[in-house]
Amino acid sequence: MSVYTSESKWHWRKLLTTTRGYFVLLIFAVVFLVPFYWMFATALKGDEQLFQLPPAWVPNPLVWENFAQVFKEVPFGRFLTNSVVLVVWNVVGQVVSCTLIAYGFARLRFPGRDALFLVLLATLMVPRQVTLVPQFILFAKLGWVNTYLPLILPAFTGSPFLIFLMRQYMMTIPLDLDEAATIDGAGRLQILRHVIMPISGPALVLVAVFTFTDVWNDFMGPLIYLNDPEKFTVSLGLSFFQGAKETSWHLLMAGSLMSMIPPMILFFLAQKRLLGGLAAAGIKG
Amino acid sequence: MNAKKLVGFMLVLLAVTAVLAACAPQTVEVTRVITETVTEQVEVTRVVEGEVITEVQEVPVEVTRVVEVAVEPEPVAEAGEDEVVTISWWGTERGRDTAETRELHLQLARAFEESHPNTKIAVSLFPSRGFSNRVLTAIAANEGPDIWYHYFATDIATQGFLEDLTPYIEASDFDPAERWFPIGQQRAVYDGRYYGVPRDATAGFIAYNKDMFDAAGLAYPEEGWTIADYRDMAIALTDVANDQYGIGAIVGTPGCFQWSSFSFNMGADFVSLDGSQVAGYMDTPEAVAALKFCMDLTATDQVAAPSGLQEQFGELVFLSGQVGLQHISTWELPAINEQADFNWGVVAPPRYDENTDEIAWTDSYVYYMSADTVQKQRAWEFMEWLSGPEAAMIMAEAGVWTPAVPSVWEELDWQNDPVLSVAWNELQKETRVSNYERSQFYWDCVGDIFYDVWTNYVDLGDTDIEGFLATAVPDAQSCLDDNYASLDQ
Repeated sequence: MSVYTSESKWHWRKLLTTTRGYFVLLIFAVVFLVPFYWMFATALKGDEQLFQLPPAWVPNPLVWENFAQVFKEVPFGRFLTNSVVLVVWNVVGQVVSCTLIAYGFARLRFPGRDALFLVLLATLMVPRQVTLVPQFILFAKLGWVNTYLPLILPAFTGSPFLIFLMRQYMMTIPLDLDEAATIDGAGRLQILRHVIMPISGPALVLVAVFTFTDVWNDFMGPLIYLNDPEKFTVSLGLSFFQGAKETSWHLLMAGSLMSMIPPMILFFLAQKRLLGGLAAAGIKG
Repeated sequence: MNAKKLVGFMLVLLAVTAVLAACAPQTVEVTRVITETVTEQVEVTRVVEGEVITEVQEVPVEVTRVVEVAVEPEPVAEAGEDEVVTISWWGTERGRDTAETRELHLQLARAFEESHPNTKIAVSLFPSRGFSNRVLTAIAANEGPDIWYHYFATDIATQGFLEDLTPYIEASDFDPAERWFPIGQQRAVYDGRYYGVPRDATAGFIAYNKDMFDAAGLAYPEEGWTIADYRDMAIALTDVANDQYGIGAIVGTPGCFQWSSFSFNMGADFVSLDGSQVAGYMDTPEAVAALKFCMDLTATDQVAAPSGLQEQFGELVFLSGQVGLQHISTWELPAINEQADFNWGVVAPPRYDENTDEIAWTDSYVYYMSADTVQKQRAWEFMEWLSGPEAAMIMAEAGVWTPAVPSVWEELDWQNDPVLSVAWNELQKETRVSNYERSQFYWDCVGDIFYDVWTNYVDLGDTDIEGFLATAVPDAQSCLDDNYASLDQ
């Protein structure tokens, strides 16, 4: 009987602790979900419900037409396609360039390597605004304004932050693997391709996801380099609903919701590897 | 010298060469056939008194040579009348009815092209957010548009990238004073020169919710009312328990000092007309009284809607139907016309007292021409047309902006429209360029003071406005002085 009581107490204590834990997590979840819900609710409101006092938490009636209206007001489908094109090229560019550059910093020994790496890291401190005009002048002289080249080509020269991440990850890979491959007759690029890259999966996913979100959300780049609205991206397209004096909140929220779908799908698909990559790059470096 | 030092030296040399090359004037090598006169020594033989004399003389001789010379590229000449030219025209979307706004721009471009077949208009519309960055970056790279409209402070002309339009206007057959409302001219002029032409003309006035006035048994406000009447009505209309407020905001939270007709009518000007002085303006007793009046509506009288709603919806919080009085302009009218599901009216802003004349808050976006535009004459033709009656009629019929051309208002009988007649009257009154549009450094040096004074007074309860301004205003003045001095260097 006493065993039963003890077990019962233990059981209830565990239940209480778990419940308390879930309760705290639930509160945080609600706090984080409220803005998302408000976004969703606003996307389903009609004009007359937007400015209601007190604000209406549940739209009535539900105006699903707002989603279709987004496509009528701006060529949203075209914007989505343009964003996808940019994202794909940038992901390819960053994965290729960051891997090669990071491999150089992590594995090759050459004079000035560490100094060069410091210079690379120092460029992280330069705000984008500082380089905006000189970079624009450069691309303008090349005749690339109103093309996607200024938005794609820099990805093939790597990003300091992503190079740093990849380098840190690669440094955790034992050198023995390289040496074994060398004994088997593999060259540098073969080692990278057949030894390092297969092991660097989580870090590569991280690079891809970070690049995806950066490019998907980039407002300033497309704004500066593109003139033709047919070439605009989702982030620019959404801003059309936000004027200096007037904002179409319901359309802005409907458009934002639709623009969130691709990053969310990506996140769920890459979730496991993404979290693993974050931990590996953050802890083992 | 070891290899490392040699490589280092070469890199430095390369960098220096690159910098020097980048700084060198841009020239091109061209092959030229030149003919020049050179002096050659020639032996001349002559007979003098039977004696043969040979002497060397210098004679000019023409020589033709082929040479490589470096020349600066010649500026591109303006096209002839028969040549087809494309003018780039940039603008912004307004945040609602984007399809209609885009269609208006295309309609204007098409209408101009029909009457000017040799000029093509390339329209580019951008989100209003970030438009300044877009334009200024492009101009810095000499890739800017020929014509664009924006909301620059008048003294932006000192930056040098705007074409001085005065000669074009003087050569035209219209009188700006007759063609445009007063604000249309004031917003476009700096130091007596025209650097733009108006896109539209708007005026500030008060919208009021008739249903709320009826329910409270209050008479509607009428032209000639005073700020004391305004305050009394706001108090009478407020019922916080039922989410009912006297005012939404005068215009935004701190904006009430910067935008509204209230400060003008209370004798306050926070910045000098040329934008260079804040000391002696923002710290006057009139300015302090205007600040106090505005903030007391929230802090003491508590007649304003919650600040969260003001920030979220701005002027359009009036559309909730639970705000009695709201300062709006013609820019917000389309939204209110379409969405208000209650009875409402408009009235001129309140004056300070019955004996003081009103000074209207009016405003305008401005079309600018880039100083780097090659086809200036063609660009001007488009600008002149855009700011003239034909384009103004197209804009008016589209309902996107209220045009800056009074003759179009009269043609449409807007001066007798129950709503637009109020704007029409305001646009005729004495007016000034708004404080925030007088200096290009306003938002860097002055704007934050209003946020700080608001935080101190409303949020922290520190009512010593004079004490706060005694420190803040000299700082702002110093900031303005430094920025203007940097322009002179």
